[in-house]
Amino acid sequence: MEQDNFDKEAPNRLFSEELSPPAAFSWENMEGGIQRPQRRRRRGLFYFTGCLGALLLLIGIGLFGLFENNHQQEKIADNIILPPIKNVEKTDSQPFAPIDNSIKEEQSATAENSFLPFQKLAHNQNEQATFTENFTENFTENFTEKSSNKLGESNISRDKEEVKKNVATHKISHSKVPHLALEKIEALPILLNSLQSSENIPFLQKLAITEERTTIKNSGKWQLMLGGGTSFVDNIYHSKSDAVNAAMQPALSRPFAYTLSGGIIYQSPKNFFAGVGLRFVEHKNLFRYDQNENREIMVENAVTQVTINTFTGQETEVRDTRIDTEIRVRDVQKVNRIRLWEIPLTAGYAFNFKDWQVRLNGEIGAARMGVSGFVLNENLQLVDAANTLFPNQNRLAFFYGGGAEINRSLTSRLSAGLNLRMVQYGNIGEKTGLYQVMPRRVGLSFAIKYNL
Amino acid sequence: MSEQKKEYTEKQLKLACLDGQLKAQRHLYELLLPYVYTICRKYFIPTAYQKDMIQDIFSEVFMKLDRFNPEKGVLKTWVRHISIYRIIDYKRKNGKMQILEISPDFHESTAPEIWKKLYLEDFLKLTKDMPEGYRTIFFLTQSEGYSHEESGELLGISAQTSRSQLSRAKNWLRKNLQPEYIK
Repeated sequence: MEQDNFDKEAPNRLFSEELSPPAAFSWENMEGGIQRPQRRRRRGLFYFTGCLGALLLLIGIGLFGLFENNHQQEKIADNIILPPIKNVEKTDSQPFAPIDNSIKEEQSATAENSFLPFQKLAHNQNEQATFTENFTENFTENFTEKSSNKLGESNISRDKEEVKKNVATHKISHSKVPHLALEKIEALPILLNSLQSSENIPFLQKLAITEERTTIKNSGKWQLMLGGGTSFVDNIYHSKSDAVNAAMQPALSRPFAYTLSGGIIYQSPKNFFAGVGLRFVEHKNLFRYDQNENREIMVENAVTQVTINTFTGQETEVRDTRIDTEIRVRDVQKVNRIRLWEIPLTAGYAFNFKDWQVRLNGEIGAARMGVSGFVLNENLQLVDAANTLFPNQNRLAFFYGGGAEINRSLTSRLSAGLNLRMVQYGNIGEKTGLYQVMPRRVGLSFAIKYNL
Repeated sequence: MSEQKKEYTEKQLKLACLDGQLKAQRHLYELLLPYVYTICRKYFIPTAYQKDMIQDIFSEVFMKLDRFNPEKGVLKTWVRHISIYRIIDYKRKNGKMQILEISPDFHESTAPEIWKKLYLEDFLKLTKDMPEGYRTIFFLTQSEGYSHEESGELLGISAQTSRSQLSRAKNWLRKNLQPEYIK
């Protein structure tokens, strides 16, 4: 029976106990030496890059599509700004002879019909030539004298398609066209007075949409910016000790970083600009380090002492349990990570070259910096960076920098560009600490800007 | 605020670990660490080598995890096998596993009531000076549930020798079990 007690009691209670492992066996301390399947980072990188690219492309297409939709609506609006001019008495011999009743009904049905006289006119080349002569003569004599101060030099289109082409070529902001048309309308009474006798009135409709770009009111503009890219960093953990630097920097290998940013920019009429935004930067470095570790090995029945008899020359060995020390080199791999939430204040000047724009800017800002991972201490031993650098892992930091960007307008509202920027962080390490955390980084990003 | 840990089934844990998900690997490690550590203590892995042993065991667990079938077995049992094999291998390489073939002149002994009050930590203190062969057989059969045939196969001895070693281990315990060690 007592045998039963032993066999039951011991396994059931005693051996179901689990001892609490010491803190030294925590995951943070042990993971470096445990081989395990690694996540396929390359796939993740491509996946991330692909998603980001697709997102930017979708946003771009969306904005472009939205703009194109507005564009079409504004084109229609352009054509109906001025109502078709009616009740003008004309004879069949005149260039703009009254059209028959059926055509008149169609004319009133749509705004496009206001151009029907021109279609009719195109069938009579001789009359058109006469008309052009009359118009040009009257225009140059009356319009340019009386209203040149108000309108400046204008293009006078002779053809509807040409007008459309002009609008497209000069990239007139289509949302502005109705306003331009209204400005022109102010000049219409002057033109009407001078041109009424020449019976070329229908042409005045076209003046409303043949505005030169130079006459657009040059006001400031707001831009929304969205971008992303990569970043290259130089020496995140700068140590006062040369030995530590020498050991640390080769260990920080295979860097990978990405940035995501967004913001709003105001550009003044004189091409100065200023903006504020939010930028997230993450740097990851694979920290690879050969760690030397001493291991004690207990050797039983080992020779611990040898006694030699000097007279006989006989050796006597004493055997006991001996503890030997073995040095073991361990390949330690860690991922060091630094995350920056930046709020940059940017200011600069923009140089415009037709569809291209070059911006030079400087920036200052505040950032929230978080670090994790491992560094080496003075004895070149691996230590937790979070404990060594910042006890709470997060610090407020400041930075300054500058850069240049080149943009190309895709449409009147949308532009895209590349931005090259260098940012230097101020030291936020402890003054007495081994490390100064003051990364210097160069960022290369792609951004899309949308004019509000 | 403590981070809320995700609950995994053994199957999910296996797949997540094989996928290289750090959180899952950490979860598995923290789930099994007390168990593996206890095994290391039971077989008297030297303190200086415990860290290496645990890392080696978990390395093998992670790298061979694809062989574990959650539908056929329990994760702890599978990890226990790996741990025992590692430990026996270590002891064999370090010349600690010396089990003498003993003639079957043993007889089953009785166990004192003191077992009922004994805790594992005390028991490990008590068995510190126990011969290696006795202790290994004792734990393999009494704690891990191996049969004498399995233990013999694992250690390269006969089942009969395993039985005799166990008997001697019990005798040794009866002689050396001191009440002052018991809480």
